[in-house]
Amino acid sequence: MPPLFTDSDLRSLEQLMLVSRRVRNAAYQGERRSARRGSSIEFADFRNYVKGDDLRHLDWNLFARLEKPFIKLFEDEEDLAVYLLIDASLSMDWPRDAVQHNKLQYALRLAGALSYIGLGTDDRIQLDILGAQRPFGPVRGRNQALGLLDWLAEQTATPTVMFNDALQQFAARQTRPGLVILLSDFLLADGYQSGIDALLARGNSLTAIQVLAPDEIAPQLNGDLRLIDVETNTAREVTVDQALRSRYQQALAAFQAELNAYAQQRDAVFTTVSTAVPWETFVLANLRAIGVLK
Amino acid sequence: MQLLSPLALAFALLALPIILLYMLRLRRREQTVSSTVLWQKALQDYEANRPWQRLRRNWLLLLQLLALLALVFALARPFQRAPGVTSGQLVILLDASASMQATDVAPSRFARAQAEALALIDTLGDEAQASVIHVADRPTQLIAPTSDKRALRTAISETQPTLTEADWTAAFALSSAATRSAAQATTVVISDGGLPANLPVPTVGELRFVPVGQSAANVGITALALRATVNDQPQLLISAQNYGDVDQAATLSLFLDETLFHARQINIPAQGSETVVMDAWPAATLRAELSPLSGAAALDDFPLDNVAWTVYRPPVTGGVLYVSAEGNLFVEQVLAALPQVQAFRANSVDALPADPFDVYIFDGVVPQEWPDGEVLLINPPISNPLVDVGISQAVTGAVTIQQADHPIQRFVDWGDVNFAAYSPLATDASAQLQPLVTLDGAPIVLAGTVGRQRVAILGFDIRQTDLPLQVAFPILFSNLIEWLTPSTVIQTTGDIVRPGDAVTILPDIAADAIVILRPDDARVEVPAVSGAVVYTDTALPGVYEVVSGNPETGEVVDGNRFAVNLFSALESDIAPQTELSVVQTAASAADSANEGRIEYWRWIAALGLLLILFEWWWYQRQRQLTPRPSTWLTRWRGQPSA
Repeated sequence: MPPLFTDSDLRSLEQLMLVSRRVRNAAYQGERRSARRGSSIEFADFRNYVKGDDLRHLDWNLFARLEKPFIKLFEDEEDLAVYLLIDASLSMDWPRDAVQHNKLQYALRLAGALSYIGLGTDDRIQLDILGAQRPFGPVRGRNQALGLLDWLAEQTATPTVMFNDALQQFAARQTRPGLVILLSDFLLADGYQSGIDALLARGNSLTAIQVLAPDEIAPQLNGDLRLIDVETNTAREVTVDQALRSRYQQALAAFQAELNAYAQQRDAVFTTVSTAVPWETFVLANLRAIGVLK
Repeated sequence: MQLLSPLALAFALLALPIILLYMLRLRRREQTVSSTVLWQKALQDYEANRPWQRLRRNWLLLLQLLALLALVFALARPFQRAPGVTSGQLVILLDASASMQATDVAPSRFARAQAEALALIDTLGDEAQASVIHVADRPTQLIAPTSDKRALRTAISETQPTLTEADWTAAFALSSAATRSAAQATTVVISDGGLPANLPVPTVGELRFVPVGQSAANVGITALALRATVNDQPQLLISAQNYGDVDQAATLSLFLDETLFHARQINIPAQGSETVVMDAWPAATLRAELSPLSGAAALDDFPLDNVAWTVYRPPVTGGVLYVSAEGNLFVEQVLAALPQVQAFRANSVDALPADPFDVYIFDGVVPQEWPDGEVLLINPPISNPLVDVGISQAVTGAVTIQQADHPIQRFVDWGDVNFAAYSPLATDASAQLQPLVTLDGAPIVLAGTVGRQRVAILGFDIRQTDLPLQVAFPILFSNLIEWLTPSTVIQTTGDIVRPGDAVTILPDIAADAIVILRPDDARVEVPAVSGAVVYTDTALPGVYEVVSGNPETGEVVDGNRFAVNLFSALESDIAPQTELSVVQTAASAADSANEGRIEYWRWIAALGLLLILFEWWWYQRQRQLTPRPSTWLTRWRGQPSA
C-alpha cells in the first residue's frame, strides 16, 4: 500500500484547524481560545495524564505523592475532542479491484488528514473503526502522527458492521462530547437515524461525510442482471436500461437530500464526496467551504 | 381487407407460450454491487409492472412476436376484392399485326398493348390461370395456361410485333381450345381493331376488348410494280392511299439500286388515293419512298408502309424448239410432259422461227446458221461444226459412265439401255466438251460450254435404242433441259410477296446450294439437295437476293431477286376501333368491369420469414458482442460461452 500522505500533503494540512459548531465541554488545555472567563495562570483542575500531554504541565508533587501522573489545567485555554468514526463495512471496500477509487482507502485518507489537522492544533483525537475493538487514541500532539499513520495502514474492511449499534455503543462509551466526524457511504438497509441520534444526544457536534465511488453515482450497468449486494449477499433482479439508470440517479439525489435535511434539522453538517475527487481538493477546498475546516 | 381463413388467427395464441417461456427462461447475468439499497428505491415504482418490465426492450422477443403475427396473418389469407381482377381461366389475345407498330401512342401501340396485358396479369387472382396468344399471320400460344405470373410477364415482355396481318379466326380457335375445359373463362382481346366485321367466334367464355390506339393519320404505298410492255420498256405503276381524314401532300422518291433517280410531290386526298404511272422506266430494282415535304413534321404515325420495293422480271422469251426432219414421238412427248417447258417443233433447219428460243434440239440435222441459244444435238450428222462423228456401227461392248456426278447424269441408269447402233464421237481436242458416257470406249454423250453456249450431244439415234422405253428417258431429258437452261426460279403464290409469305425457290440443277441475302444484310445458306426450297422467313420488307452456285468454289450459277412489301389495306388503315363486333357476342371497352380478389398471404409470409432471418442475425450479433444467454432459444441454438 502506498503511503497515505506525502510531506507536502502534511505541510498543507498544518495550516488548517477543525471547527466545531456546538458548545464544547473542554476539559483539557489546548490551543483554542476559551469562551469562558479566567486567567491563564489560574488553576482549574487536574486530569489524568494521557499519552502525548505536555510534560511541563505535569504536577510532579502530586505524582510524587500518589505515584500517578496528573496534568494541571488552566481555564483560559481549552482543547477539542475529535472523534473520527470510519465505516469499514464491505460496501465501503468498493470498488474492490480498483485501489485508486476505493472508498475505504479514501475514507482512511480523509480520516488521517483530519486527524493530522487536529493533532496539529493540540486537539484530542480518537479514531474508531465502527464495529472494531481497537480504537486509536485518544492522543494529542503532532508527535502522534506516525502512530496514527501506522494505525490507518493496518485497517481493513470489517465483514459485519451494525451501523446503528456501533454508533450507539460508541456514544455509550464516550466520556466527553466533542466533534464527531463520521465517514460512511450511508448505503444502509436498516437506516442511520438511531445511531446518529445517539451521537447527537451525547452533545456531540456531528459532521457526516458520505463517500461514494463513481460507479455508485453514475452506474454503467445494462441489461438483465441479478445484482448481488456485496455486504448482505442478497440478490436483486433488475433489467437495467437508460430509464432505470435515470431513476437510480434520482433515488440517489433524493437520498442525499434526505440526509442533508436530517443533518440540518439537528445542527449537523452533511456533505458527500466522490472518490474520483482528489482528497486534497476535498479537504483543502470543499471542507473549508462548508466550514468544517478553517 | 377480408380473411379467407379467419380461424387461423387462433394461432396467434402461440404468442402466450413464447412470452411465458421468455419470462420463465430469462437468464440474468450476475453482477456484484456495493449495495442494492438505491436500486431498490429506484425500482419501487416499477414493482407493479415487474413481469412486463422484464420484457421491455427485448428486441428478440419483439421480432419473434412480429414474425409470429405475420405468419398467422398469412395463414388467415387476407384478401381484397378488386375490380378488374380475373378469376378462372384468362386468355389474352395480343394483337401483333403490323398496324400495332403505329406510334400514335408512345412508344407504340404494341408496347401499350404489352403494358395492358401486364396490368391484367398483375390483377390476376391467385387461383386464376392465364395464357397469352400472339396474334399474327400464324397465331401462336406464347405460354400455356399457368398461374406463374413471372413466366407470364416474361412471355409478354419478350414478344415482338410482326409486319403481317393478323389471322383472328385462327387466334380465336386457339383461344377456344385453351378455354374449353375451364369452368370460368375470360378472353381479352388487346388490339387496335382490324378484325373483320361479324367475325364468327367459337365459345371463348366472356369476351372483353381492350382497345389500343388513338389516331387514324396514315398514308401508305399500296401498289408498286414494273411491268413489261410490248416495246420492252418497263412501265412503272405506283399507288398511294390516304387513310386519314386530312388531305396529305408528300414527296415521292424513287431510288434505283439505292441511288435517287426521281422525286416528285404528290397530293393524296383524305380517304382517297393517288396513282402515278411512268413509262420507259429502267429495268432495275426500285425502291419507292413517301416522305414529308421539306420542313414538315413526320408524315404519319405508321411509317412502315411509306416505303416499297419492286424487282423487274423480264417476260419469258421462248421455250424449246425441236427440229427434226422425221420427228420423234418419244422426244416430243417427253418435252410436252416436262414442267416449265414450252416445246415447239420445226421440220427443217431452213425455216427456223425468228423468235429466240432458250433451247434448240437438233435431231439428225444441224443448222446452217448457228442459233443464239443452248443446243442439244441428237445423232448429229458427220458434217457438223462441233465434233467429229464416226460412221454408225454395231455395238460390241458395254456402256461406261465417265462422269457420274454430272447434273445430266443424276438418277439416269444407263445400264439397262440397249443400243442397236451408234456413231462414236471424237473427244474434243480443246476439252470444251466432256465425255459423260462411252460405248466400246468411244464417247456417245458429250456436254460442255462452247463460247457462251451450253452444248450437249447424244451420239446415237434414239430410235436405234430402247432408251424411250426405260425410266431413264424422261429423267435424262429433264436433266438435259434443266442443265441447258440454268436459272433459279422463284415461285410465289401471287404477284405480291407480303411479310410472312412463303417463297418457293427452284435452284438451278447445277447449283449445290442457294444463298439468300436478306434486306438486313444477313446471309442465309440453304443446301439445294432437295430440289425446291421453301423460304418462309420473309418477315422483313425489302429486296431479297437469291444466289445459287457452289459455296465451296464461290462459283455463282445464277442470281435472282424478289421483293417483300407490306401492301395491306387492313394494316395500313390504322384507325383504331373502340368496339369489337363478333357474331357470338359484342364486346366493348365498357364491358370490361369484373371483380375478383387479390390475396396478400405470400407477401406477408415472406415478411414473416424475413423477420425470422433478421431475428436470427440479431441474436448472433448480440451473442458475438456480449456472450451471454438471453432467450429461451438459447438451449436449442447452442449455449453461448459465458
